Amino acid sequence: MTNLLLAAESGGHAANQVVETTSGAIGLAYLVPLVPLVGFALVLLLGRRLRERSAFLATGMAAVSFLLSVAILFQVIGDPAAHVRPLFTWIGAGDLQITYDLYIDQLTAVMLLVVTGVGTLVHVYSYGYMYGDERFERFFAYLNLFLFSMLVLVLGANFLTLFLGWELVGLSSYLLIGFWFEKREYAAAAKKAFITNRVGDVSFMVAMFVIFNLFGSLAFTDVLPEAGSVLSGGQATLIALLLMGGAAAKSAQIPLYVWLPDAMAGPTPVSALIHAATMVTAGVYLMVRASSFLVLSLEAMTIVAWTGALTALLAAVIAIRQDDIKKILAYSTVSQLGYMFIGVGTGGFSEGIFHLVTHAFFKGLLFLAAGSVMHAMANRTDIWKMGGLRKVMPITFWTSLVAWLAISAIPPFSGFFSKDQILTAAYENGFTAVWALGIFVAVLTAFYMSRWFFLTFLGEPRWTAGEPIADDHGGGGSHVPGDDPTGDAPSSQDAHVTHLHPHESPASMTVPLVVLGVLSLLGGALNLTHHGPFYSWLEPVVASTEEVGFAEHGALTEPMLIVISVVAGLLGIGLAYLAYVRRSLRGVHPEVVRGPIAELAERKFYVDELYQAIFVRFGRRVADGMVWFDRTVVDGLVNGVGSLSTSTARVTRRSQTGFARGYLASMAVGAIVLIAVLLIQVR
Amino acid sequence: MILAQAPGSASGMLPTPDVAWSSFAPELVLVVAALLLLMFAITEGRQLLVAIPTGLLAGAAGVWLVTQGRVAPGAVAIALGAATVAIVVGVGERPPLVQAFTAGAAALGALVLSFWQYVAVMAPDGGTATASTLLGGSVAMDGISLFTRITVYLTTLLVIPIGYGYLQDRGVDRPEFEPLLLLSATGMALLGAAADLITLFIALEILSIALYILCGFARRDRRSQESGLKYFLTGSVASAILLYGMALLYVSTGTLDLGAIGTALGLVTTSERVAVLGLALVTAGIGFKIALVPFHLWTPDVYQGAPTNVTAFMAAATKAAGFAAVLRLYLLAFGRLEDLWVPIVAGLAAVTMIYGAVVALVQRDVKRILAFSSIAHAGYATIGVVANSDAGLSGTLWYLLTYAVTTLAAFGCVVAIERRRRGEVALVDLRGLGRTSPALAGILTLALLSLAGIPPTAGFAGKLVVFQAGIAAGFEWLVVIGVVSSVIAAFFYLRLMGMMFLEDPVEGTEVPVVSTGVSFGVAIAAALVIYLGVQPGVLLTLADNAAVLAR
Amino acid sequence: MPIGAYFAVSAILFCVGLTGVILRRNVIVLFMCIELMLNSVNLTFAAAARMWGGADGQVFVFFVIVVAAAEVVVGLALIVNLFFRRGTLDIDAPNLLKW
Repeated sequence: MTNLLLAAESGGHAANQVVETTSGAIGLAYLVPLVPLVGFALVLLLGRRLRERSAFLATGMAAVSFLLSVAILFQVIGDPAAHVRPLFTWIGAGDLQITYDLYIDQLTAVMLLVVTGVGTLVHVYSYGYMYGDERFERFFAYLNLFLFSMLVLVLGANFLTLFLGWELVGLSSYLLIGFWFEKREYAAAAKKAFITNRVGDVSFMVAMFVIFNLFGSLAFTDVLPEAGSVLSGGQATLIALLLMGGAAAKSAQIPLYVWLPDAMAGPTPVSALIHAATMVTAGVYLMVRASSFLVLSLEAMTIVAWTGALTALLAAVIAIRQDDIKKILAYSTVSQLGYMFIGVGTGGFSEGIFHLVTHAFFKGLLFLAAGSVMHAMANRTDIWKMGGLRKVMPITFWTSLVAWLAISAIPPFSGFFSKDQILTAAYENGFTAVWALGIFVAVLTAFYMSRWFFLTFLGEPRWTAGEPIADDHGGGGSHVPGDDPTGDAPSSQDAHVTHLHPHESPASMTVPLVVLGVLSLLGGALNLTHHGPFYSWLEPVVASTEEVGFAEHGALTEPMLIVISVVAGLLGIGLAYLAYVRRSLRGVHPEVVRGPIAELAERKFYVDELYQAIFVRFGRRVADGMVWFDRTVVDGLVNGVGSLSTSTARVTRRSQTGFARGYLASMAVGAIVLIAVLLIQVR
Repeated sequence: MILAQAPGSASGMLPTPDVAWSSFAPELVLVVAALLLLMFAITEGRQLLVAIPTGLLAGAAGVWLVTQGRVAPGAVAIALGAATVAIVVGVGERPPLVQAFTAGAAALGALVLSFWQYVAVMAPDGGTATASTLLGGSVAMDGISLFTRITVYLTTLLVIPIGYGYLQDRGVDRPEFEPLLLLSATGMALLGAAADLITLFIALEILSIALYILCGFARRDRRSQESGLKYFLTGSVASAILLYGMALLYVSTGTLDLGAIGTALGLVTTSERVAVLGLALVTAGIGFKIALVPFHLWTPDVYQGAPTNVTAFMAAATKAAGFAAVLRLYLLAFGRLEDLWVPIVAGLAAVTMIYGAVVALVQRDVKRILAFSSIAHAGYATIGVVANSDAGLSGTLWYLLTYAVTTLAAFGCVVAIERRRRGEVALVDLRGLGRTSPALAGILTLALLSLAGIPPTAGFAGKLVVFQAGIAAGFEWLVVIGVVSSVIAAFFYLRLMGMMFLEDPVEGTEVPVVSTGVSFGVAIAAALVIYLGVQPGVLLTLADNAAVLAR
Repeated sequence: MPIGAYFAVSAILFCVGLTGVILRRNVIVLFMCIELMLNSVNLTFAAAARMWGGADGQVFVFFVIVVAAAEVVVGLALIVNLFFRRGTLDIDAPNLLKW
């Protein structure tokens, strides 16, 4: 290994040395994205012949990537530094020198593990979930393509290679969201996702141009250490906000979050992989990667923090009023991404990444559990038509329980630690209002997730076994391996009607659930205290916030903050319990109706009333208003950009009269105008 | 003007012209091939009578060149001579195939000779190219001429196989097609090399007149007829305007040499008012060729009506040649007037980018959509001109090359999809193409992604370089407009992709016919789209090294 | 006669030609107008060559004449084709391609 110092770093904050590494696992790092790409090509070429065996091929490729990532992690542990693995010159001409290098530091290692780990689990899961789909092997090809794209993004050593991955994930997620394109609105959803992301890309591209112009390079090793000495405050704000614009589209922040709920049209494993664990977190990754710009501008950080906080609030309120098992999770994802942005904006970079990791576990798990439920319920998605699934699907139930407590931030589940640490960072860096908002959203989170959980799994079944049900996507979900060995689904032609027989999902689906369940339960161990091992692990990567000039924080101490967080989570669960378990199921399942808050509520009846007033009547108004805002204003704005252009085009195309003389006249007029403009200047 | 005069010989004998043959060697091949093809057409059935003497002559010339130490051109001449005979012997019973193969061989030979020009004449030591003007200052050997040649000849080489089957299907495979194509390509290459106004004008007319005929080539088809006539009328008026602008430049400067015009325009004695009139008229005339708003109105009609392979040729090659002239005119002749033209051309570029992207949104015909897209792309390429720098110069040249391969791939797919009966491709004809012919849909998607500028395609590498040059020259606002325009454009590229992949095929529609020629041409173009996107290094470095202007 | 007069005449000729091209509908007349524009260019070149005392302007005139002849050949062929197909010489008649 050749250690050579490529960039010096100012003292105080222990930053990474940059070393060029071509040996060991890092020397082979290019295989990490390459292997899934090969898998994609092979499955695409041989898919027809391999049929369901292509799943093994694709999953194997993902697993190889994962193992390589683990090896890379160990090498980074042994030699903590920013490793650059040079590959080849991508664009080389004059000033514009862009090399294709891989950049592997502590942050990359974490992202690699999350992407390949959750990716592999989703591959395994998809075998059961997609079994019997007529384009089964195509799905696995796309999954591998997505994995490749995401790894390109994570491994890029400069903004341009990152952007390459950025666009590739957009493309592959387009393919995956629109996978069941037979339904028109699914195709529309895929398109909406792509276009919304293109809007963010404008911002990202302009940011890159500005960076290149100021630094003469796009490589992280050239740009990030120099940020403080090259940039003025205004320039730093500009770059940070431009990058933020790109990140906001990918990570579904206000006002560009609209595509994510629609993107639930894709098969559920896709939602788990792309719209919970990996792609949507790319924006957070970018912001943390570019933390050197952020810390130069308190204004930019404040804007990022408030964007995150407002997004978290808006999405959480909307989630309360959703009835679709996946839509709730989608808004919840938007809300949780908001938390990550709060972390980034308030200087809690490592905390944001920590939440990214735990969120990948528990939200991936929630989506997969939702998929398992839909699988059992013949693709029914309305939670009001579920209930009582606890007994039918024990594994799904117990793993969901873990994920539900994790996202509700109940200790000792992983979500508690990460969310609490973000809020602590916000509070300690003087963003008291953001912190308070975060606590309020935590109550809401616990509330709507409990509602989701209670209505799906607890209570009496609101369905009857054997009832006929229209299956939404042909051979999509309801066929278990073994059910239908020939693969030609009975539902494929006869009007998509199946009969409802809920059952636990096959092992290929439950095993990933259990694995993620364990991770959701224990993930907090990575960073039990605020400045624990995960924090120190990422410390050399992220910029120091010492120079930012945060406001003084209030009087609350860390233990008090923790207590407030816990109370918030419990409050949300309690309210949901009162609303959805007690009221509807009183006397039916007495064992469920026990607990201190429930007892309290029973003695003091007005709590119910208060709840009615706040959460049902007023809350419904607010939530309806938010839904309206989402549908009308935000969607309208996004679509408006499109329709404005279209209507402009309708008028402008009239210039194309088809008469040659008109064209000549236009030329003549143009020439005369040119002459006039020029002659005025010469005078 | 065309031939350089040797230093005066006092003996009273006629001075011996010293002709720098190397400066137009590629064009020589094409002109000879065009003549040969016409001879083939006349001597139908006895083509060997023409082929053997031609082959022998070419071989002899080649041997002589080799003995003179010019190995590469000699080898090309011998190879082409042998190829001529071989083609006639091999496929002599099918005259159209003879025509296509001969023309293709000539284009390939010209392409090889263009590279030879760079390696042996411009940059013999492999470093930065040296620029020079030859033939008494009429023809330049520099980056612009080199890159224009590469783009034009590559396009010609690919268009011939793409169009071969198409012309037969439409029943318009007449033998004058290939000669006209070659002549037009010759004009384009010369336009890129023209260093004085006369050569520039002649080259422009050679390429235009041949294209007028090519556009109206399917003369029984009313659309094609209309396309040809409209192009002819608007084109000749544009030529007249351009010509009057040139005349006014001559009035104000007294010279026809572009470099000398540039020098003279800097003098205080020069009448600026007349020069500015000339600048305005030249902008209008040349703006027509590269389709800048408001001189663009002919583009959609002509592109839509012309036979699709001709449209592909026009979009890819004519644009490159037109921009070559633009670069040379503005950077060289109008260099001293930059305060005047830079803001104006920047404004035109901005309007062009937005217009092309926006109006394409409401189109239903695929060729028309691509025509509007070509207008938008002219706007992007203009950013490099406006940058008025070496980076901008090489950026524009590079951009045009990436656009050429991309648009060839796109139009090649359209050729395959085009329903022969109707002679047009509507949006709905793309429905379900992803199912019925996935390979074709895949390649068209690749081309569309490249047009939209999404990495890792050639289109992205192209946009990146011109936008970078624009930013470096302080045109942030223009680049932002460019990026916004490319986002708007993504809407309709995506619409095409959605039609192919997210819709069911219409029952009973014909499956596109992919002939061998189309597969060949489109596959090479698609491979280049990816190669130039993933590994732009080689040609981009060439563009950069060649960013020298012959003054 | 001062040199400016030649330029003035040629400018007027050019404008007449351009106006005619835009206003007239008969393709043959259009064609004549284009010729008018080209000839105004020729006049400008010839006069300027005289003014500068160089030959290149006059050489250019010859090239313009040759090119104009070539254009006439192609143009008339297209016009004859139009007349055969549609029986009209109205430039506004071919109007399939628009919008």
